[in-house]
Amino acid sequence: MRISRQKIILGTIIAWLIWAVMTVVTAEKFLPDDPIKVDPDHQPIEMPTEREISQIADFILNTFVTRPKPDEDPIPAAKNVNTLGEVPNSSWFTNRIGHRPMTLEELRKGPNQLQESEISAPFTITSAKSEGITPGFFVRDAGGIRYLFKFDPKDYPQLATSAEVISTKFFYAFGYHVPENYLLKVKESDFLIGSDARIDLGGGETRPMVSSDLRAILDRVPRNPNGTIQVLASRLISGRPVGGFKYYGTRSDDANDIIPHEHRRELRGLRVFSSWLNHDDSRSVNTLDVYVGDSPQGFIRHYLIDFGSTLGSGSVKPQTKRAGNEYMLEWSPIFKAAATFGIWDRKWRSIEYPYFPQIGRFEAKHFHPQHWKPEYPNPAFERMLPADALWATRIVMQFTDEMIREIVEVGELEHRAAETYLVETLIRRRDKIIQYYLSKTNPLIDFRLDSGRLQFSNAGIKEGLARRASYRYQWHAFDNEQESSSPLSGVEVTERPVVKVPEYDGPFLMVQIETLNESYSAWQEPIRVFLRRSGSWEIVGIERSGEFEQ
Amino acid sequence: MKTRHLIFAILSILASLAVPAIAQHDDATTREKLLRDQRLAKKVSLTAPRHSAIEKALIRIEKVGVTQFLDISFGGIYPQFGTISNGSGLGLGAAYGRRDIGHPSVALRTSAMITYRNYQRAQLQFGKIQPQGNRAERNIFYSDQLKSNVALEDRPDAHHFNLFGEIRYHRLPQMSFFGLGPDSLPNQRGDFLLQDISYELVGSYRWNNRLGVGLRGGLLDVKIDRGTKAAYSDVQDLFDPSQLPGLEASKFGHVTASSWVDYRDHPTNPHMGGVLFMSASHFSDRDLASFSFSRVQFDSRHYLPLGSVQRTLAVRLLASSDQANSGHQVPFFMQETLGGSDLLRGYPAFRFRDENLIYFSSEYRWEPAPAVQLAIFYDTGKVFPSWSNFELEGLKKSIGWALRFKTPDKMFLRIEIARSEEGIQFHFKIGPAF
Repeated sequence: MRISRQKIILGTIIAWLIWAVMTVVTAEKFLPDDPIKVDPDHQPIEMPTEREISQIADFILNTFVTRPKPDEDPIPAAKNVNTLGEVPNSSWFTNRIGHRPMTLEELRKGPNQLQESEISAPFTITSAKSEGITPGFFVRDAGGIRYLFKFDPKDYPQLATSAEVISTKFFYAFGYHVPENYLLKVKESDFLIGSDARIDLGGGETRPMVSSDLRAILDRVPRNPNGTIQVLASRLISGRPVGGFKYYGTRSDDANDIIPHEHRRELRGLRVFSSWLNHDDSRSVNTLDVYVGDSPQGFIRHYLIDFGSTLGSGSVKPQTKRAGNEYMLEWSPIFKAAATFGIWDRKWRSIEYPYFPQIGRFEAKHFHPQHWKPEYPNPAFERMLPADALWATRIVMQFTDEMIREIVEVGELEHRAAETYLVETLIRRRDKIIQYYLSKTNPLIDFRLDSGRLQFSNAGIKEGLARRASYRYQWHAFDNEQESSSPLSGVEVTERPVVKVPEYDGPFLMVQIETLNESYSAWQEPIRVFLRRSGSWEIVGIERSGEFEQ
Repeated sequence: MKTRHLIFAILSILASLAVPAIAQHDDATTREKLLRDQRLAKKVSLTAPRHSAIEKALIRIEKVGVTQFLDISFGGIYPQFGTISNGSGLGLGAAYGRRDIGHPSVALRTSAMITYRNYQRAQLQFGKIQPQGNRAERNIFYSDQLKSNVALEDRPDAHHFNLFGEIRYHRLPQMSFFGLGPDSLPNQRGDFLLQDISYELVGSYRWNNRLGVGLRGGLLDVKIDRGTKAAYSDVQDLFDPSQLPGLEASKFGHVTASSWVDYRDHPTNPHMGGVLFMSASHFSDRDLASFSFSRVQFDSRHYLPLGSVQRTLAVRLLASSDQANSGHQVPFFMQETLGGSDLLRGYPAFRFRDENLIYFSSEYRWEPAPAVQLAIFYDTGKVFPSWSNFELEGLKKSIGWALRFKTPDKMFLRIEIARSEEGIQFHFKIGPAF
């Protein structure tokens, strides 16, 4: 069929017109429903096939390929935040303690839907592995619910199981999707061997499991004085696992996954949480994408899993001294040590840890939030900007000493001194995180309007970094379509964290605020707060340094 | 200007004017809609995740384990490669193993290997056998170092008690021989063929990871023949028969008792502690009744961290003494040797040979990375005919440098260069240093 020239021209014009309309519309900085509270990433998709992730390939790629490149300077701001800089609820994240107070009961409960007492014997083993230092079972309890049972290493009772259940509560409170993890005390007689249970002998060899296998395996796990065994029962996540997620790029088979993972604020900010809890194993292999619902109406939810290597636990033994201090492969210290016949040594090797077999290696004295490292570079962590860190730090700030103590108690550590040490260490690490990140950016938070005044809090003062500060600000008229602003008045300075909203008839206002304190130059980085007239003024946007061009 | 160009220009101007008006009245455009639209746009171009061939292979390795991945098994028979002894060169072989024969700890293990220099080895074990390393080690890193391995492994599932029968066969056609004694000459190098088959019963007991005893006894059938290396003369052409005691010996009964105390922090990757190993053996010539002898051996290894686990001083003292029965001699091919990749590394394998041996090695090791160990070392020692005229003069020395690769659990590859008064030796060795 021959298409006339006129039709081609007309088609071109229509396409251009549509594009132009879209361009103009989307060029608006603030859309009517901003700031969104929920990212609609639950759109139905067909169930993707399971994507396997190679740990070795992940290590190589993240060590050599996915690190920030020179053309990424400056690193772009996080792309999945709303106009207030918050992370909307999504298949990745649900705002919890960062948005509302959580009760101690909620913190203790975490993601769990059951009480421990509801998980009852007999536990029918459906498969087991005997290889490795710590064995594991897949079991079905009396109610037919399926769990993965994990144990502690023989010489370190409670090390991995308590760490995992404690960290699960924290990560849940932060807002991540995590499995239901229960701490149980079971007896050997609680186990039954399923008729189809096979034991993995390693090297691909399996055979039907027999009672001597069970005894042999349980001989390699620690016992409580009363003969019971502490078990971490991880309830299998509802839905169909479709592999882990990577910390860069998007899933090519998930239409909802449109934000490159390295630019997701909750993944960048995960660095702060991971450093607090020493989750050095925060890598793709410890994530899980789960297809929720029936295809094609379901969607993918993203989980963090396996917190056995957190706090002082290295899962099968105490955490190594390197963990959290140096990547598995880091050239600079290698060359220094090689060239100096080992005389130059890593500082972290000389760190002394108190001896608590239940806790392993976890300390606060030498911990530095900025210097903390996971096992190998994480592309999202590497792109964490001060605004991302502040977002996470604000969540960390919500944890009171009492809350930390409450969460640590769920680890049921038998040794009282160990529990106390763990609580104190977490508190000190929390304080270091707060002190460090609040010193690295303008720490103004909690913006609110009240009686024609814009009020805010200085988190730095609230957390004791400084006793006072002053605030330099300037009001602007803001053109939402053009994304341009023009000053309404001169620059003013106030000693109090409150500024009067000027009389203005236009639809948008913007105020740029700098915090002045001679000890913290980073506090002077400007914050822009946008107000929209909607009957009265409402706060529609907050931008921090690094999120806009200055 | 052509008409169609004019129409295009007019429409463009109209469109430009219309856009703001349309935009202002497009109340339906929201953030949520924009995000939905972006997702709809992606939905039409979804693709299944793709893995490169390398990533696929890596995934498979991680899924089934290196062991299974490398297990090119044919009905339970799997390949091996490695060395048989110093100077054997690399070889290929096959192995078969079966566990759970009537009892979970009873196993059958058999293997055979041949190297490109036609060294041969075959082995059959049956009984309650110390668990071996994983299959990858057996496949790839097999190296018959004739070690007393009843004790020196570190496995959580290691048995306390082992009892097994063993049949071993070796054919080593190019064994170097430079003459007996500490003053043998480097240019007087010959070779010989050593072929032996042994039938042994081995028992061991370990109370814990630190303390154990072992007993090994059986029959050894030996044959010495002409060496096959074209570059060297056969020892029988090069040396007087009086310099080759035991040339005709063929059958020995033997028993070895051993004990060890092991207090290394990590036996296969030690940084502190030590191990003491002692053994006493008796070899009885059951053929000619002329070459019976006893041997006492003491091997001590210590590891001293130098202010950090990154830096370790490792020392080893090895002493061995043979005592022939009255009127008997120690066969030359069973005498202790120095030289090669394990003892006195600046000299070629089997460079020195005599009835007694003393050897000291020290290494300064440092680990710039968890998987890499560097070392400088100094070896010294000598062989000598009897302790009665032993003196420290004439100790042979070598110095060297090593690059080694390891896992957190054990050393698996070492590349070493060592220098002595007789030149430089390179060693590329699969397996650990002391």
